[in-house]
Amino acid sequence: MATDTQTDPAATVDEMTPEEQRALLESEARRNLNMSADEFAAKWRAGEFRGNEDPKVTQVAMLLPDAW
Amino acid sequence: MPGSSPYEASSAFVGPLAEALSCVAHGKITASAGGKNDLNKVHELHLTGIAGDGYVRLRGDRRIEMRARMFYEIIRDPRPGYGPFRITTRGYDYSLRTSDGLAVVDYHWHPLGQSHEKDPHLHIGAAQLRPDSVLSNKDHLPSGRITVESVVRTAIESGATPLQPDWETRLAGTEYRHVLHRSWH
Repeated sequence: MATDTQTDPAATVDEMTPEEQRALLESEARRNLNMSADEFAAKWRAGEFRGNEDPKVTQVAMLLPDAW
Repeated sequence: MPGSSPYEASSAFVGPLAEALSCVAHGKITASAGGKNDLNKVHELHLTGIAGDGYVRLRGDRRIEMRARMFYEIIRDPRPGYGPFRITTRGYDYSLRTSDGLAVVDYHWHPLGQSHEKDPHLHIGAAQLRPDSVLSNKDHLPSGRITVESVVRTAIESGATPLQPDWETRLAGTEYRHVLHRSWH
């Protein structure tokens, strides 16, 4: 049965796989901060970005699952 | 907006956002893994999709590009009219930039554990600043809570061509529904 996307908008929403989500984070970390996702995550968890007001840092951090 | 199931709540959440975005762009809305059903976990919603760096080109002579990301949880809410399931927004990242990649304005809300700025704010983009400007793109300017609708309006006011002739009515309608249900302003 076809889904009526007007009554079910979520049907039109793609859901990433964990691998795709990880790839997105990697891409954003490299593009914005010139480092790998693992390096960024380690630095973030270690508090090395405290006081860093560059909006690109928080834009990448928002994609870390454990940053919230 | 509430739903009788996590999926229904996520659908009620996405519908108005998709309608608002359709006033200026057609992106492939993409959620993070589990974003339509998993409770008590912060999910990502990429309203303008995840292709490239997530920006979509808006129509119009100004060649503005837009990216809209939201961060949310699906939660239980026992209050009458609010549940049994609903979405609560945890943060957002809305950006307008020029076609050559220079930021025009970024709207942020990121109450992350390590954020020093946990209230909604905006950054004036490099495309709007001079080397001798008083402000810099790193300054966090208080903004109050920003809706997707207000970003779409800003894009249109900045020269993006509306894709819907009744865009003002659509944005007013979707924004009203959001403001009605949100828990803080």
